[in-house]
Amino acid sequence: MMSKAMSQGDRIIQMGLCCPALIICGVFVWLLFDVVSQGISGLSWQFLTQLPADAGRAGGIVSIIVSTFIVLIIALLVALPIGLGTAIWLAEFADEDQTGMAVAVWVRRSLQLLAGVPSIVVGLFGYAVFCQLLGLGYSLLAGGLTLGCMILPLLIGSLEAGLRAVPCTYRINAVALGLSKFSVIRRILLPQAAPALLAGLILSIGRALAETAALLFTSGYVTRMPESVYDSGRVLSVHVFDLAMNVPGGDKNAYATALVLLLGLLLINSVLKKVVNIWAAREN
Amino acid sequence: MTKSVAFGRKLQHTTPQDISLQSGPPAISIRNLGLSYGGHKVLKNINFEARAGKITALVGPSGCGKSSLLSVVNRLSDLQACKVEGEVFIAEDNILHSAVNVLKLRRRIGMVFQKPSPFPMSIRENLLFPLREYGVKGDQLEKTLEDNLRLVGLWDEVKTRLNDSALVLSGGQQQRLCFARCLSLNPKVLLLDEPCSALDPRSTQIIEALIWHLRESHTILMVTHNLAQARRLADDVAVCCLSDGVGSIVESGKTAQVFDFPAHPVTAEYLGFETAEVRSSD
Ligand SMILES: Nc1ncnc2c1ncn2[C@@H]1O[C@H](COP(=O)(O)OP(=O)(O)OP(=O)(O)O)[C@@H](O)[C@H]1O
Ligand SMILES: [Mg+2]
Repeated sequence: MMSKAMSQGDRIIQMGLCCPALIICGVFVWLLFDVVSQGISGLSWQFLTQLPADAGRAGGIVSIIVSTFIVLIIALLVALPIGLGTAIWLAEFADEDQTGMAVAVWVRRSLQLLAGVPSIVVGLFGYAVFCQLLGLGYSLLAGGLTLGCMILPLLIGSLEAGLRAVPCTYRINAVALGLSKFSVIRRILLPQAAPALLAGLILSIGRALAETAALLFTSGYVTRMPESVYDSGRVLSVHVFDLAMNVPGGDKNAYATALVLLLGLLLINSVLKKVVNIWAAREN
Repeated sequence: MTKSVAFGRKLQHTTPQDISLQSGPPAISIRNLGLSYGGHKVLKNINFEARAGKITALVGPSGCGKSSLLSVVNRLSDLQACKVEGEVFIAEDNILHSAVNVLKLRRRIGMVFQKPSPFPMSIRENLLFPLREYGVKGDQLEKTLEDNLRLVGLWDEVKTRLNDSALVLSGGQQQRLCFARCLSLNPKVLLLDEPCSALDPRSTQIIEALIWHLRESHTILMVTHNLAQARRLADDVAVCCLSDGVGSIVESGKTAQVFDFPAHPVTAEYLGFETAEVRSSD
């Protein structure tokens, strides 16, 4: 890495900058080692396929995995269309006239606010609106909707940035050819923004899977297998929290659950990468 | 195809929802056109005519507003934060009228930009994507693809790699691809912004021959810095010059007339040096 052409000063700066980078690696490896080493012994086929027993100390986490999956799917089903629509509007249409620009200012302000609100507050909001006002009670649906609100700013922010980064010459050429805006967005802009969309999705899913506070009082914490989206259910992060904080002797399964969460995240990310790549390549 | 100014004025009061579709290429007539970018005036008092089925070359020093002028003709100026005043008639319609259907307008006008800019897709899709948008279907797609790539002399170079990304082509190949993409959509008017500036002499020859071949069936408005090229190709020439930082057309007319007997001292100065060069190289 170090070229001969580098001055003494540059070399010192390079080393100085390399240290924090290495610290990041170190923290990650430590975290991974901690979770894997303590969780691996609890991980087994039974753990993944059995219902929890004895407050989670025994048995498995299958109902928890199912609840988590359902909450995540609901959150994405809500946030993706709204997020895509908003991002495309902000990046491609809002600047076209005065009203659009004025509205966009407020949309951006709301998003910034939403992004900065602590998740516990979003949870309170979700409880008040989805559980009580809409009468959904403690349910996977209420939890999913609340999570959807939470990941919207992330999704919209990254997708809008991705769309804006697409060179303007494509748009100008397309307009000169008399192509419709819709097909230009579909065939050129979205495929070009696909990596940004992917990054946003991965961030959002990570955020959603990690969320504990907001879900405690929207989707609830019963460990039963949910029968519908109107049932209450416990997600992985809540399970980890409960085992670690409230259940003496639950540490081992807490770590095993955390490991499942981590592996699930990695799996989802790699599948997503494949899907987005295939889609972007097909558009070419 | 000649029409009086009065005739155009009268028609200006009708609201041209759609630009009339007609068989022959239309004349373009620019009247009292002015253009400014956010208060900064770039063009003023532009008056000239691009005759139907003829090649009109637009020449002038860099930065005098030639590209800006072209962008008004297909209302690409709408995308920029610029103010346009005056009138631009294509056939009988003032295309600056707010009621004009710009999508239809742009579908009648092909444009090749100064900088080649194929879409980030395969070479094939660069042509097929717009064609499909225009409703071309089935076998016609592949045929149009091959015909137009042959027209710009690109077929033999790319026929074995039509599915490769167009972005890996050389600059000159990209420019010819854009030319093919534009022609495949059958425009009646062609706006060419230095179409040969990225090309080697051989490709330039191909494109010049093509432009010559397209005359009669197309009205061509071509910006070029290559005065020899303007002389070779153009029926008419319009000379754009800067005065006090604002561009205007100082002279326009038949090519031979403008080159050999420039009426305006500024034209003579701008053409003089190059004309001598052309003569010596001929
Ligand atoms: N989008 C824009 N916003 C602001 N100013 C612009 C814009 N486009 C062009 N200009 C300015 O307008 C003037 C004319 O530019 P234009 O590109 O039309 O010149 P040109 O004659 O085509 O030059 P060249 O021969 O170098 O291509 C220049 O001073 C340029 O800086
Ligand atoms: Mg230019």
